Amino acid sequence: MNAIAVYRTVSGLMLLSLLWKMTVFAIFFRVYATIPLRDSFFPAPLQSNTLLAICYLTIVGLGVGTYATRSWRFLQLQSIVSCVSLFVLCIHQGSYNDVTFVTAWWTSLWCAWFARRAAVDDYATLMAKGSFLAQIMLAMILLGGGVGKWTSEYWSGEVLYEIYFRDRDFWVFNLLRGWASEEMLRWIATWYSRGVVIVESGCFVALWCLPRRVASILAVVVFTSIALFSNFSLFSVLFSAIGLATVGLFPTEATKTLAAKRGAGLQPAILPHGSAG
Amino acid sequence: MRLFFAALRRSHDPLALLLVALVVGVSGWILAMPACRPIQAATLERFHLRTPSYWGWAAQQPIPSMYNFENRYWWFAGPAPEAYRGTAPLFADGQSIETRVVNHFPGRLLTFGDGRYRLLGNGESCHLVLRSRYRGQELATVWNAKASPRGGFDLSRATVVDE
Repeated sequence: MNAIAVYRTVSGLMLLSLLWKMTVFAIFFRVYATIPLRDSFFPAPLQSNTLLAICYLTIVGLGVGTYATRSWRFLQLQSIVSCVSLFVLCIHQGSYNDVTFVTAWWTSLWCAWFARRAAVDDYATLMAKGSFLAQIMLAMILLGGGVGKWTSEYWSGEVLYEIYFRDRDFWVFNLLRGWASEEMLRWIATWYSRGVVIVESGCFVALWCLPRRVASILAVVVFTSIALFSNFSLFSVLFSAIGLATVGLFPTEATKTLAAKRGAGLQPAILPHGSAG
Repeated sequence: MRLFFAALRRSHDPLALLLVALVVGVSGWILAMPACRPIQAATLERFHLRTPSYWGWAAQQPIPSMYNFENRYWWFAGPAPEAYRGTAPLFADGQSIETRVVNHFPGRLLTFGDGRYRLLGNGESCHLVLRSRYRGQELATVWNAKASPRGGFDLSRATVVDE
């Protein structure tokens, strides 16, 4: 296993997160062109459709380019440009509310760090640092979701009842509405909501403390479950996070083949396999 | 964590330390929110695009905040309501109103593609009352989208005064 494979996995899942709602974004782009909404809160360039399109297409184009090169210099450039473009999308009138770009921005920040250090560190050192950084970023992302729900409206289940249980056309909620009485549905919504609050908040502590491989598996399971049991569109937000979570699943030492190619004198420093970040 | 710092000792990496500091800082901000009313107020203002400075708002945007707060909107045609019960608008009998709870950034109803098409696609001015609540603190704002002779709409905001 080598650093390029790690980078391409993380960057590839970030690319997938941006492509997940590609057709939706294309429709929105046409809406913005036909129904402009002038708002003095945003500087003029950050209401521009052109800037929105340039940023989005730049990230996608450079993301695809990741698979055509092994040059760390190019990957450094790709990650930095993606990071800047994603930040623009986080603060643009047409995209500021979509958390897709927030999780992708943190992922691109990690990628920028990784691409910079891959040219300097040996593989084991790189992975020891990279997996810990990915873990604490994921912990922070989940914390951001959890703490904002530490309020009576979420603890009672009222908010998620209105958003999901009342009439959302999604397999879980359709199934529950067909099976449960109104009273039972509200009871389920309450415990569903409390479960979300507890899992998101608890994962913050867990991801800081657990060994890297266990933390990664936990994060992948949690992020995947969020989308599978609430809304498939959320994969656009979660693929980037899942990409970061995969870092801990990679071995911390280079494969024997690679190490052998490098020769005994050039073998990377070895850390205990599967050890804590 | 132990291996991270062991690896840091082997190779000088200020960028990694900077990232840790950034993550710790953002996590600290998030963790302080339930107890710190200024942070609650700043985040409520962020959700309604009411932060006094645009760049102050932009600096908060990387802070993860998905599905935060109870965010309710009221969407209606006709004049903005003149009376409120608390921060909930009072409407005339028979006035057509839609009200729902949304996950975050309730102003997305006008700014984001699907909502903008649904609410403004007919070319007529409309109003939204947005209310976000968190641990006893709340912010309510009226958003007015006025059809412009230049085409499209001009957006303005006003605070709802709790009566």
